[in-house]
Amino acid sequence: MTPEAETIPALLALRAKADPDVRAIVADGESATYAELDAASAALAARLVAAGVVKGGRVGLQARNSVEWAVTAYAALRIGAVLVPLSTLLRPPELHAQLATANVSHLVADGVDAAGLPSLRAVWRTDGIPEAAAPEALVQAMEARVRPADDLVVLFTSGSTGPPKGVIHTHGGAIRATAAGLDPRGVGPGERLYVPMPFFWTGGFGTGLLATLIAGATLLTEAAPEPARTLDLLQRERVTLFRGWPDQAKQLAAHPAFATADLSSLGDGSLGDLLPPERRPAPGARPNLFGMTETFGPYCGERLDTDLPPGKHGSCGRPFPGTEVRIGDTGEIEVRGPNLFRGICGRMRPSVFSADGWYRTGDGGRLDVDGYLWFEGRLDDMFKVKGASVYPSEVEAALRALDGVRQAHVTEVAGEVGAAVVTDAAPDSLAAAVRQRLSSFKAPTRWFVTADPGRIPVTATGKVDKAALRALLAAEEEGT
Amino acid sequence: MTSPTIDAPDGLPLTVPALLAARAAERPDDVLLVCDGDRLTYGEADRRSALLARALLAAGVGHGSRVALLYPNGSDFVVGWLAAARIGAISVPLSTFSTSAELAGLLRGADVSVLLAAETYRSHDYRAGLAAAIPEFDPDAPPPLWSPVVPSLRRIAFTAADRDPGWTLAGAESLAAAEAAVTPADRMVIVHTSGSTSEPKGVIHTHGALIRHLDNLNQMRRYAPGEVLFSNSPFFWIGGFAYALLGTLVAGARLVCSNAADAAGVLDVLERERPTMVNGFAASVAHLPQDPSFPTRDLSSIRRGNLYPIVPAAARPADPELRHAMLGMTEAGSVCLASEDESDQPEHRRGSFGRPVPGFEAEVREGVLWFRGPFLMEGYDGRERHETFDPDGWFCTGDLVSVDREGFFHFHGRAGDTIKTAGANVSPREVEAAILEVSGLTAHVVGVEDEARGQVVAALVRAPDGAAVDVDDLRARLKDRISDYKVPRRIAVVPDAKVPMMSSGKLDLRALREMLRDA
Repeated sequence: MTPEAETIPALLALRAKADPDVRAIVADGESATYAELDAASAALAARLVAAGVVKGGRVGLQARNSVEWAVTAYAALRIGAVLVPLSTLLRPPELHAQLATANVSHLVADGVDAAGLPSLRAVWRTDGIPEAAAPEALVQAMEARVRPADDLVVLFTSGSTGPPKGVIHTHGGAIRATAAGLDPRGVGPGERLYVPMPFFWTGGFGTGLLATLIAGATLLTEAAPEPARTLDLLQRERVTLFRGWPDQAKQLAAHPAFATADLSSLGDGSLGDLLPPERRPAPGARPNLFGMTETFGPYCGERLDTDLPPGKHGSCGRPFPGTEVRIGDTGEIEVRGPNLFRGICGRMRPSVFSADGWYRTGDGGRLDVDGYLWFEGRLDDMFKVKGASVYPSEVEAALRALDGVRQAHVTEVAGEVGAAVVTDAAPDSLAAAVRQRLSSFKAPTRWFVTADPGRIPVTATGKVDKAALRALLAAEEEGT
Repeated sequence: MTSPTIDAPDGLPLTVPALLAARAAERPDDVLLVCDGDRLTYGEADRRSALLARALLAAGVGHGSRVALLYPNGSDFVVGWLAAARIGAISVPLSTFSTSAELAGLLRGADVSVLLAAETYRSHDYRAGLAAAIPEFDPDAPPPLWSPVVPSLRRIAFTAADRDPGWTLAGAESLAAAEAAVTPADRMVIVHTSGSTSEPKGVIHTHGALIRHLDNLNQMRRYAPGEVLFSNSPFFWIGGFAYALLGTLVAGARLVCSNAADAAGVLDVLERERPTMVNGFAASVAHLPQDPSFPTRDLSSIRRGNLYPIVPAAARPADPELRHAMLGMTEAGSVCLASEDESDQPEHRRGSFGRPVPGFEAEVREGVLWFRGPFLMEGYDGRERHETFDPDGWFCTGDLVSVDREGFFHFHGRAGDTIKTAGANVSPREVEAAILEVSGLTAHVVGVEDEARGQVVAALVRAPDGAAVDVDDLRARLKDRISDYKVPRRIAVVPDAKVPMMSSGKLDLRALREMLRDA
């Protein structure tokens, strides 16, 4: 669909007028209607202005999913400040690097040590933003100045090496990209969408928060999903679309309370494990909505409530309008179009896009004669752990920075991060030290630690044999 | 070596802070700028801008903030720009020709948060004008300013920190950290230009692209340390900002300019400062040879450049049409068509504008010039990329060109209706809107050919039946509303029935131009 407005302040005003009593967000016992969300974010915006936040200024927000997160984000966004959502999983060195890369000037977070960050003007606790407010007329004039071309957000995604990758999206691009996915996902007025993905990543911010704002739907979310509580929330709020993690759906279905839970409100676009057997799609029958931070969520797909045509099972569906997809010479999926990200913090455009506007995704794939995209794996060695991207080179760099580490090799082992390390240090101290430097999902949970470099398997050409390494790690007990 | 890409393994610093640090270390006592009696060495530029940068940091200005500069050519402009660039803020130079209403519009449209301004210049009283245009602005009240007219603007400073001890300063280590955070990909400047709409367009250039582009252009024009360039192009437009000022900093050379109102004053500066090169729009020096003292002036230091009226006879072309001309535009960061060859060309190359400069891919589509490449603007402020560039990354310049068999480009005017008068771009839509606003009258504005200025702005004003229109009064009112150079030089008042129309019902532009040529 085409969005009714292409800036956050215009969308907030529209929802407050058209759907004032529809609940915008429900999270952990709290909720806000669109009228309340509009009023609360406008009031907070006036305080941000008085505290020195300006248009284009970067406002960091580090918190778990909550109504307060949405109010704070929309407060910054409606006056044209640029939101920098920060993962609550970040370790201090990672957080400092992201704050510096995005040039964050004001940070809303609990318990952050801002030492050594000169660009940071203020750090406020989520409930500690100063009370003084700028006049309403000024805030409204600032809102009227926000244009689709203005920057909306800097979203961090894992990069292979070097500085963190801060992906910049504009209001227009992000809103159109999100709107393009609404029909296939079945997110429309009256829907109650469950998305537990964290707001600090695209999955929560775009396909959860912005999607419901654009559609006039209700977002159901949680700071920390736990099966019994989640089932309770889904029943109580009569969820119509469950778009949690596949593992989570399986867990819920296996929970003792599931049998008696009334989930009859669930629509067919929900994950199959929660649907009654007769409505459950065959494996691969529903499209894998495919996207990335740079595309602000899915850029291709088909309706989630309908089986793919015969012969297309397992595909990602077709590209959404507004995004062009082609396959490069090496089998890499390339994308371009007006809904893509504007750029990456600190990177010159020619180093990100080709002269004719194509962005190389790092994903391998093919387009069939009917225009369906088939994902064929990453071209680099990035892998996903519970939906989050892990770059082995980043983890290896963190390990090599530890005292006494002579070699570090990282690879995926059955959905976990595995590390083979040559060092004289004790394995336990290694694991503790690396957890100080890396987000928990990146920290290895399978270890092979040795003082003998000869025990690292190498190929005939002297390179590390990742397949052999994987086998070695799979055979090890955790923590040896 | 020129480079078609921003990155090249030659050590050229690709941010303003890095570039300034390098030049100030190499040649602290060399003069960067002379503007009449105002002199600024590289070392002073470094020290003064450091002070102002620390004051801006303390005032809450930071990476990505927009700092407007309203100064005539001179050290205040240079220091303001360098200070902003050092902390990653984006400079927004404003034309000193602007009326108060135009200034308020530019400050609002470019989301400026701090304005550094001269109090007055020539006939303009900016302090009084801004106070009138922005009701909430009280020059004596402490910041922040909160005005719905210019909702992003928090501070207007008429005396910058480097000369006012009243400013609070951030620590030197804060400045060092802010400088270290500036990358070549960051936006350096937003230069405004008139286009086909009534709103001026802000053209965004980044540090890395603009610095590399000017380094290429410097090599083409052999602009290097030891050279002294005279250019009277204003710093608030791309020619003065990039081709003169930034080019000089990149080269490590010396720039000379003059704000003297009379020809003799400019000639004094030329004699005293002995420039080796002269550059800019011929219209900016066309009045100099008319000065009675001109024949006795010693301008023998000038060896090259395109300001032919002041170039000594020996270095002047026999026929300027037989030298390669240059085409520049705001979107291309100044010059985009040029040649390194500064000699007289054979007759068959008469009127050549050279070829695309390094890094510019050119295509001619139906007679119109399109460009692509890393040194083109990042985009227009407030417009999405796809509104400005086609999907393959090409930008339509709106200039009509042809290419000869040798690959030399020839310029044939504008495809759109933008008027180019003495180096300034004027949007007919903007002038028509201003006439309607001040008089309630409908007008048709076009450019009419003019020997000295290329084109002049001309307006055909529709008079309601029998009504009299006082042209002098209309001009006077327009001068309060729009910059002098946009005010029509020629105005014809015509009753509705006499407005030249074609049978299709459209305005007959050719007949309109004829009427205005005679007005």
